[in-house]
Amino acid sequence: MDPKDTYWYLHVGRASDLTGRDRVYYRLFEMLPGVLSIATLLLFVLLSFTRPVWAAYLTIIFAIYWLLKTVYLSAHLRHNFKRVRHNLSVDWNERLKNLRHQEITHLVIFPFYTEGYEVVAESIRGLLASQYDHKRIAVVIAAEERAGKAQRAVADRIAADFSGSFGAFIVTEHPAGIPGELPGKGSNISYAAEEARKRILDVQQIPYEKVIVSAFDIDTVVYPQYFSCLTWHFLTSERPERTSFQPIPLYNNNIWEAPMLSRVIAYSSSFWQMIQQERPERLATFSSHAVPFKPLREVGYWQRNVVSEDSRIFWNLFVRYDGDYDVVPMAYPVSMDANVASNFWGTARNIYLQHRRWTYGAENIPYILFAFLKNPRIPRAKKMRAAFVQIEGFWSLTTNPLVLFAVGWLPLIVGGRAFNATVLSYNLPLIAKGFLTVSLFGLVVSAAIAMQLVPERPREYGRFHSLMHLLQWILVPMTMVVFSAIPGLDAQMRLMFGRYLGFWVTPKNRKLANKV
Amino acid sequence: MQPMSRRRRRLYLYALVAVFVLCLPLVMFYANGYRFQSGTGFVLTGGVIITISKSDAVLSINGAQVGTSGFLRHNFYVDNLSPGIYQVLVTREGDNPWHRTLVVEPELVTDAQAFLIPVEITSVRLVDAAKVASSTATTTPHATYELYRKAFLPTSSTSTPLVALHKPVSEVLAVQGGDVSVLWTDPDTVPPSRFCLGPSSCGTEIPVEDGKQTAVNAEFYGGGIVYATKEGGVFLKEIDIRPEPLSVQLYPVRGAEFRVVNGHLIVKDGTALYEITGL
Repeated sequence: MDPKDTYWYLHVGRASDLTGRDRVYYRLFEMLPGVLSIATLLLFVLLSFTRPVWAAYLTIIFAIYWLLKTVYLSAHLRHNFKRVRHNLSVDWNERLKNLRHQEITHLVIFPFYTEGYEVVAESIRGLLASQYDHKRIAVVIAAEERAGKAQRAVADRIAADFSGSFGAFIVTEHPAGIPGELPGKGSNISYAAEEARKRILDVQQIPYEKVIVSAFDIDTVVYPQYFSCLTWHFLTSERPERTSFQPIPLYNNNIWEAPMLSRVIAYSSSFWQMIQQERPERLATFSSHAVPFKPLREVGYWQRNVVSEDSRIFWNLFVRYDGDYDVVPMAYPVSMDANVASNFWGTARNIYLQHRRWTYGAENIPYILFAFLKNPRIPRAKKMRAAFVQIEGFWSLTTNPLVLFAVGWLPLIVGGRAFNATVLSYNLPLIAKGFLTVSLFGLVVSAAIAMQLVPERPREYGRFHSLMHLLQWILVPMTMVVFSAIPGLDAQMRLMFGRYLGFWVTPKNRKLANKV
Repeated sequence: MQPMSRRRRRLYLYALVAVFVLCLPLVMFYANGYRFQSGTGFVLTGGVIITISKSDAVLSINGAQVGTSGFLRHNFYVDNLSPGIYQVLVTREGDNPWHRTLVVEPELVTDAQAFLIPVEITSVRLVDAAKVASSTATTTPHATYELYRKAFLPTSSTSTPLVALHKPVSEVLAVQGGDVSVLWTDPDTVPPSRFCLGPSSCGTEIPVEDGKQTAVNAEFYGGGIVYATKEGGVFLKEIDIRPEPLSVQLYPVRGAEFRVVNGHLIVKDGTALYEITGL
């Protein structure tokens, strides 16, 4: 890091990258999410013992807040679902006719590690099935040297089978063991993007400002008009060079073969993204996303030393352009794999680890707080808002389910006889349960929407399987605690104690190759 | 189609914040027991909770039936009760009716556990199997009979102490001067509601037998106290200071003694041993 560089702090990964007072600040910021969450939970525990009446009041307040939040978010989800349905029905190619879209090139990066040929091939076939001029799509298969020669052979076979169908098609191999890098998606796709610049854009003399990069996962399968929709949003954007574009990740590739637990969590993740799409001021890029090449290069591509490169790239750009950077929600889906392992416990483990990685996005909190300290050009209101949204988001994710479904009931157990003899102690479970039950209304909305997003049932699955797609939503209270709050707390604790997380690659297992 | 407009989102937000602000005090008042009653306006109510361990018992409060206990329903929480005195009655076929007078105070819940004792209590004469020609279902194995017999020997280690501990250990049974009482010995802890005439007026002593007869022995048994008196035989009485604790005579023979041996209630009348069954 060069202190003379105006944005020398742009790629700070963790406190140990810094020295002196900066390191202390960053370390404190790293501890902040964990401290807030633990302090909240401890406060509840402490009050349950010493002031059970106060703890009971807080639990009731949380229950009311939860119900109203469910109503609020359900309204957003419902609106976004309408938009998705509308956008899926629109002929985006028709809309492009009046725009100069022929100049746009789509650079699609598939980071590739140990997945099999079929997983990669299905994603490439998805590109071929897209209703867009394939010659304006450049594909990069971003392999990892550390995955070994066998995986390189898979990448080469993919190239041999599909390269003729696209405007350009290259395989890159990210070298292993580059100092300062965290092995994972961020370092791989950054390397791939720079390789693509040299080997495709510069060779074909494609202007950088006319290139949109879609950073996918290896299992990302596009819907037919994804590129047309993305191009339209890019060309009609007020400031295309200051805007990233976010599709909705649906986990439909293997949804019929995924177990109930996996399906609920997959749709819950999709729904959260759909809700965020209606709150663009809270939206950061996530998972598969698109970003214009020019600012991406200016910012040094994705950060190579973090786990959450997908959201971090937004904050890199936000800081680099002094707060003048946005995400446009596309309300158009891409399809990915739901978590499926060979057995239930394997799936549960994978879901836990995947969610811990996602919730490790709390590592963005120290980053943005530190960058906000160092960048006086970002308007203060924007700083405050962004910091609040991030901190509140990760705090809620961890504490709300644990308060509502665990520690909030503690006064009944440890409140003592004096508390247990009060009307309040008898009414606490009745009232809290009442509000939480009404909150289940949100699940009804979720179930109804999920049923309309799920791909057609394959013949090998009966009607009972469809019924289970409805009933699966009763698992939500449990999944919120076990696969959201606890991995979230785990991630925040790691950040707090400096036991930093590495990048964990979600295994892709499929029995079938479902078409979207 | 456009994303949800900021105006509409704000409208939702403000509306829900307004609902929250309005809802919160109402829910808090409700949680603490405030109820609106026509004529008197808002009243700070209390409640009672009656636990009935047996199924098919009918609970009534002030003559109005509340419900019937069942396999999944043993606790009856009745709220919205104005402060005052309530008559609770639990009836069950084959059991003595259980009455209790409970005081309901604002914001507090008065609890009581129905003490249901069968009307028909039988005493079965125990016969030592070693002393009859062939053992039958009505005889007691010799070793067991000996165990019971030795329990009544004056030097026996199983003889009843004058002070017995109970769970919780703060609850102590005392037999002194012919009286039986249960004492609460932990001054730092609020005693169970059976020590309390009302939820906020608790004592530390429950008189079980207080002078009409002369108790010679007592033990915790079957959720109550079993005691023997010189004058009246063996009794079982509920531990509760509130009127009227249920009391039944188990063995109405003057001079009868009892012991609790391995959970069995054994009575000695002269040289004969009886087991009290049906409790």
